[in-house]
Amino acid sequence: MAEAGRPNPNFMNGVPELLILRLLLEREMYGYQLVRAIRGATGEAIALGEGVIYPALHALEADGALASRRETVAGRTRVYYRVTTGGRRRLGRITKDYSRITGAIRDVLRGPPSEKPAF
Amino acid sequence: MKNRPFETLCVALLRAGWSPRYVRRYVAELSDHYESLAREYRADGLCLEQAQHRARKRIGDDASLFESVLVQRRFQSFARRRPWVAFVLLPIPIAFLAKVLAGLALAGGGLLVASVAGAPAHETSPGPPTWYVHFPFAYGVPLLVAVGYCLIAHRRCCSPNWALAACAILAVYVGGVTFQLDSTLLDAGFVRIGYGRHVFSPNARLLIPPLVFAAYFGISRRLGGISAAKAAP
Repeated sequence: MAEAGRPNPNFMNGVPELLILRLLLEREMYGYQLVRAIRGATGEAIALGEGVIYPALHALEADGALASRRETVAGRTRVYYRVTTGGRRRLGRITKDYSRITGAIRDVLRGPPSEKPAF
Repeated sequence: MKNRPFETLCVALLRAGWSPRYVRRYVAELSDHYESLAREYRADGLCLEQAQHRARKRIGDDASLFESVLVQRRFQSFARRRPWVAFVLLPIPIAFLAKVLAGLALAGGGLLVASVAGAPAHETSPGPPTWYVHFPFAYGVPLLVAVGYCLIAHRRCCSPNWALAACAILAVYVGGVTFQLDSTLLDAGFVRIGYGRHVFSPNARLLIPPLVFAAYFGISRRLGGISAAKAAP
């Protein structure tokens, strides 16, 4: 578990994508809101250099998993992101993969299965 | 602008070949994030300086932000990802297309003038003056395309050698290829476009792209722009 407030240096592959898609599924958000939502939803267990989230958002948008709209707030550009239909499908896929992997890891951590009698 | 916390990052990304459009967007989003964080810290009772310092720290340093963008090569500008295509293969098709467009614009302009003047189509007239047809093709198009290439090289922080290559190719092309519009038929409602090539053209147009490059090179060196082309943090 990461120390609260410190970015996870080796941020697990695919995890930001999973979190972004899952959290944006509920409502559209801009970057700052999304980072807060990640911190809130993970109890600050997963923290990242906050600016790092934008390239991930841009990549997901370029892949068609997210759509965005711009708004000018107090003279600043704010980009709101939402999940597209393709993004929902992608989320379904990576959620399944992630559940399978974490399930396997949990089994390993639980220790070797107790020996069963031959008969 | 008073406070530009991401200026260094912005310059680094541009120099590394990321498209200006992408960099503008990224920096705009970072700036908004930074302002929101600073406001949050201010609400917590920190002074402005501390709030800005903490906000900047939480967003990440320039190196980590730069690295996070580095993996997204697809947002690099086309000229940086495929300089051979942009500066070696495309100049001739672009110059050709520019001439076709210029031809159509001239023909359209000629027909418009003829219709506004009310001259009947069958009446013969001397047609537009030679310079009207000759100058845009011979000088305007090569000038615009060469300037365009130098601007692209400058804006995308590409090596000046690529701009030189594009201008040299353009010089050979505009000096060796003729593309003409038959102006005498304009009033009759026809357009005839001629296309041919000759081995050597004594026209000054051959010199236009190298001159444009020389001007670009001189100005950029004076401003220190070219030396920064390969720089990255």
